[in-house]
Amino acid sequence: MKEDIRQISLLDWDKNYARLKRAGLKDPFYGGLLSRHVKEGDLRLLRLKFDNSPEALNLWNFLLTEEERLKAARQNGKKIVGTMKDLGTVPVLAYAFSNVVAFYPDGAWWIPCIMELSAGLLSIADSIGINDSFCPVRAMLGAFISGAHFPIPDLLICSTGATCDDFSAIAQRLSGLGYPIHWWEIPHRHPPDLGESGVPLPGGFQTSPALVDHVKSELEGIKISLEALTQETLDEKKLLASIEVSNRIRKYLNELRRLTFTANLCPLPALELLIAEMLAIHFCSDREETMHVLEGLLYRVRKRIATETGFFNRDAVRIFWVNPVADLSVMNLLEDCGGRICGTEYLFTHALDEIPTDSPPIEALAKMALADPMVGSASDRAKRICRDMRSFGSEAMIISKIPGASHCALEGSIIAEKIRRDLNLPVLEIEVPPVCDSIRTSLRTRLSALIEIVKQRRKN
Amino acid sequence: MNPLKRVVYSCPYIPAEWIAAHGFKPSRIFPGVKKRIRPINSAAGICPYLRAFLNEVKAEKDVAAVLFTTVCDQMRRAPEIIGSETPLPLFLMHVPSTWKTVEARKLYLSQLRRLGFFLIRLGGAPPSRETLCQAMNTYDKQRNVLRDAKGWVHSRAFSEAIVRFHRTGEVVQNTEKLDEYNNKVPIALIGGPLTSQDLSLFDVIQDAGGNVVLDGTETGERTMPRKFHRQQTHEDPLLELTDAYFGYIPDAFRRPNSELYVWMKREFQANHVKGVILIRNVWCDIWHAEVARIREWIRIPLLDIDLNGENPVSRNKTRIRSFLELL
Repeated sequence: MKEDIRQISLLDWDKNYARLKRAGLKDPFYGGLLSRHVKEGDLRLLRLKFDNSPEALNLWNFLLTEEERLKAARQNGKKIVGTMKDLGTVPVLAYAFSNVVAFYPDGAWWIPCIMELSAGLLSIADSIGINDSFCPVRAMLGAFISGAHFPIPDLLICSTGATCDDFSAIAQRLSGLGYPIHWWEIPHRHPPDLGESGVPLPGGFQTSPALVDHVKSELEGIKISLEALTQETLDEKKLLASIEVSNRIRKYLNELRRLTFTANLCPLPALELLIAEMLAIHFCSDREETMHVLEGLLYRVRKRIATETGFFNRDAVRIFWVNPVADLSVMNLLEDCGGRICGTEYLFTHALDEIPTDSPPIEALAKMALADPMVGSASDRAKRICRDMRSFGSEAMIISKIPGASHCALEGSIIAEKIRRDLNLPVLEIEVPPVCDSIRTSLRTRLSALIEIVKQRRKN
Repeated sequence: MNPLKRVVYSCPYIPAEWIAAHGFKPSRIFPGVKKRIRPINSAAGICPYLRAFLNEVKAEKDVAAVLFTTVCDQMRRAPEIIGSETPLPLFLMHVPSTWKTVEARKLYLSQLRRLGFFLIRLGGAPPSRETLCQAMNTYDKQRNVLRDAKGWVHSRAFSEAIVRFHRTGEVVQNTEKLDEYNNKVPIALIGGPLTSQDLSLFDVIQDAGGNVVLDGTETGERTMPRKFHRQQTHEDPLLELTDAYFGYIPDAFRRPNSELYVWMKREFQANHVKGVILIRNVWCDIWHAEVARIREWIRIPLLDIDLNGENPVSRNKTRIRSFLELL
């Protein structure tokens, strides 16, 4: 029987859920009605459109129950480690310990969107001098001060150096409020110097051995902090095991992305794929379940491709999206305007690449950390985007600027220029605040204009 | 190698002595206001100081190279912005934000060595220990002359002397008679870098009844390295350079930035500061995030001023007057 593939509203999900339950749907431990999250304050769900598959339901429930899992972990005596900014490296190290759960407090940047500003996190940040000239990740400060969203971690680990200023400043403000932070330095990635043999990194970059050695030392320092916290010694075997699990997750994600971006008909909408990609960073505080969720999505996507079913029209314009959006509804908006996502760079492509297994594990993680696209030049980042756009057949690029983010002011033009020059493809820069309702019309106009340009170019 | 060729930069963590020891003239430039439109125009999110610096670089003559550091996100990307606009060799040095660990110092030292290799490729000479010692002694002596001038010259003249010294390596003795400032309110400036037009704020402060007794902006005395230890300079000059610069200069971008607060406490007390004016560039998150914390911490009145690349007097005159009236 052909699958009934649709994007549905939250209210439709309640009916859909009832139908699936009657048909024998077995909920995971975090499963249930999606609408229950609205009662908990996640008001934005009322405005979003969702993939109507049971695998997508699991994905959303998994994401929206992370706070419960963290609280349960605290109650069960696990050590909670808040890893900040590095987006993908330190959790691999942290999860090698048997009694640790790691998560990114940075993820609080979406709370103002999901709760439609009702949680007051941005107001709290305003009250301590971090106003809206800063990136929406300032919501993290509000989350710490209110204590209402996640348990205060037992250890905070934050990368600094070649990182964006606003996050660094916000983290320093957090430290100034009395939350001690283990800072570690990620140096600006530069190519090997003249006469120096380069170290190849995941993602195709090369760098100096001195930088790899430095990051190795920093990760050793983090390992010592984690050992002191957990009273557990970490050996190579445990770390290799953790890397293996991470790599399995990354393999699933890469396959999911490849299938979704290259399919003739879109098998997974942009919003669900965005959430799925985010799982790579810290596994939503449960690595095993992350694998199950991704396996489910892969199954669904493969089935849709095999039966040539999917979302939107075949002529939906293939868009490469750069930077995550502060307001999730914009991903729906793109699709409403006639686009589909065929390529992404959400600031953490290094967390999607497989961690090298031909190096000692700490060295492998050091290489991975240095492969972070934000740690090197914007030109490097643009090169990788170009490569991916060719590979996925993207027809245009959208750079979604994050309001207040220090890197967005300058790098957008560098990336856009490279795409225009090397690929001769149109590029659109937009800025997406945490709640974009007031500018939705103008965003729609601009997205629609881009779609029209691409369609006209196809004819020409 | 032309010894008159200048190597220009703006970051205080680049030791002038290191550049001089390689046979170049170090020139930490102080941007003016240029009418140029390229390489970057005024735009939301772009630091006005960065804009001024890049425009200044384009206007400079007899320049062998331009050095940048990673102390802020915008400067980190600056070489890419200006790269297509200038034939000058550009170098980006990573200055670690962390400073407490041995690893941080090792990284800084390795970056200094990298800079050295860059200067050699430009035609510079690999410095011997003696050459570096000599450069360090010369600069140290000049800085001591400069420090001794504090309190004897007008506060604006002192800050201008610092700027001139960074640009040229020379200290010009000021023969202007110092007016009495006993009845002026002692004010500290703290914050990011200034451009030449921002120095007019000193006059505004004076006219309003204040006297800048401490210039803690990036272009002022805060970012001078400490005095070199003679024995250490002789034994290991590069390590001494590292300690005096990287190990000493406090700044908001450091992680943690506790040393900045230690410096402020010490210097505010030593200079009997009664009011603080924090001067930051618009879009500078690093200093902006410190405003509330410094205000909570210092327990003396603080005025927060942002610079947008335009003349700062008209925007801030009334605020400075009101602030000083309160004091």
